[in-house]
Amino acid sequence: MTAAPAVAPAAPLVLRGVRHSYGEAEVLHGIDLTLRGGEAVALLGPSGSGKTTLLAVAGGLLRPTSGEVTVLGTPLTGRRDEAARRVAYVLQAGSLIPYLTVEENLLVRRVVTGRRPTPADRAEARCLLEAVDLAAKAGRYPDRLSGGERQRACVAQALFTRAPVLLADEPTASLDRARGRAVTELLTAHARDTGAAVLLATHDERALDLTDRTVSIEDGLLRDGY
Amino acid sequence: MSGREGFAVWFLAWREIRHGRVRFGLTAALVGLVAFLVFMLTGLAVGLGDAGVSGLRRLPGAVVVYSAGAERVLSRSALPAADAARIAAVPGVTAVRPLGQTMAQAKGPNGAFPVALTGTDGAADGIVLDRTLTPEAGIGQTVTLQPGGVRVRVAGFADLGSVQHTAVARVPLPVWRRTQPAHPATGVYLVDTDRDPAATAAAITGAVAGTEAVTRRAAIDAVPGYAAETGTIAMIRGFLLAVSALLVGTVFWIFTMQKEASLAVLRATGARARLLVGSYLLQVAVTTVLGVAAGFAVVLGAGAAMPAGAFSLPGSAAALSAALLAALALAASAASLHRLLTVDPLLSLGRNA
Repeated sequence: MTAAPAVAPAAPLVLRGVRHSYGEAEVLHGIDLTLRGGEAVALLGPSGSGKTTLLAVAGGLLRPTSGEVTVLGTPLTGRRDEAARRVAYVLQAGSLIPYLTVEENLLVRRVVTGRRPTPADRAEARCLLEAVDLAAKAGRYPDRLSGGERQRACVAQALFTRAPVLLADEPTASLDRARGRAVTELLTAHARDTGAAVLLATHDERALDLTDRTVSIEDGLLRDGY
Repeated sequence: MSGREGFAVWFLAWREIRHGRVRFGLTAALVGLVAFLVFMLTGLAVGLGDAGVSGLRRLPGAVVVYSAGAERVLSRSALPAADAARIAAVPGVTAVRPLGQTMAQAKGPNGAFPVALTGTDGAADGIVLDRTLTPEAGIGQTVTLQPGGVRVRVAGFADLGSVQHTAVARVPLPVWRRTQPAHPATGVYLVDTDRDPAATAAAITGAVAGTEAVTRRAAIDAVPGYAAETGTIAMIRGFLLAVSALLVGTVFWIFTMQKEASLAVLRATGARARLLVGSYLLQVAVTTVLGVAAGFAVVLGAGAAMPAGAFSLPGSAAALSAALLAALALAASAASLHRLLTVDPLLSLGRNA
């Protein structure tokens, strides 16, 4: 009797031959990218190179003109609720919902998927806010936070989803050096600890020593980095 | 929508209202103001309608037979006694009652007062006054009717209503005849029928020369001033309902535009469009219901302070107005649904990808 061959688990995020156009203008020219579980990858590139478009396609916010995006081996469909369960974004600092407190901005990620927050959910939210040094401000509304605090709240919000893929677009842009490094460490530790794949679009080369790998994008083409 | 989605709808709707309570409160106040005006006009319309025709609504009969040329005015109509038998012979007619009604002046111990003098067959001896005339005379006292100078004893008071804003006073038909210079047998005939009233009215007009028969509804509409009064108020009420719809639609349209970024974030984080729509409609419903309830509460107070008879807001009229306000608010708020259903989650990235 022979043992069944081991089946390798599907990678959290795979992009195969992904192209995307805005009208006539193609901005992604056939992207191939695989993120393994537990891996934090930095995506470098100048402004206008296609970083944000790549993240939007990887997260299902934009449909690729051609090619395929799979999460844990399953293609992303056009359904937002399905995609959001599998891919989480670290949104920009201004994207917190103004009529929810910081803690509620975390909880809402589960509420919109049809889950009523439990005491355990609240405890988890508090724990994440503690990790980004915002526990004391959990009950405040976003307009009572500084730009940096809002950005850290967005990071905690994304981590709260427990999605297998986490995408972040310039998550440290509005943070000072120490806070920026702390947030990057939090994201990479999240990848290591949970087995999630983290893709971090950034201009900040100081983040590179914390990530496992770097890829760069220029004029819609991906190059393996260093 | 499942219970879990129901919680999500409530979660989003309530927290936004809680945070924007001044904004939602002002919107509810605006709806309340319009609702107050709609309820007030409804009450005035019913009150004026009652003052104009309630005395006729309380009379029996499905068909009113006037003399030809009376132009459906009760006080101009005069018919001979012989017409009663002719009318009774028309197929479908089950009962015929004479009725005289004219405006008269009654002079009692406390002075003169106008009455809509109504003469009917079988009325008790003396004169029965509408309850609103209690201050004018007491039971057993004598009043003098003009024209005619007829003296009658007050037999009692009853809810007789009013006609053309004048309280009804009921006397036996022979007494009414004595107040009429031409002493006609009757003014009109009130007819019961076991067929369609309109068809019976047409049959009577065709069969009995010198008459014009109409349904009771048409007779009420023909009361001088009634249609004009109620029509004007109905038109103003219609405009107010349109204003309330525009108001709610516009306010929530602006609210929706202002929170487009938040809506995009919610969509990006997995909220289904129907959740956003449910939350939005719940906010519209809460705002409208609170506004309409506040408007109703205020109008009840205002109505109580108005002169008796001028304002009347029965439950059915109030419920209809409230339902119209709510339905129009929800219909107008539908203008924002397209925006809710098509909000682009890409906006949540905070830039154009």
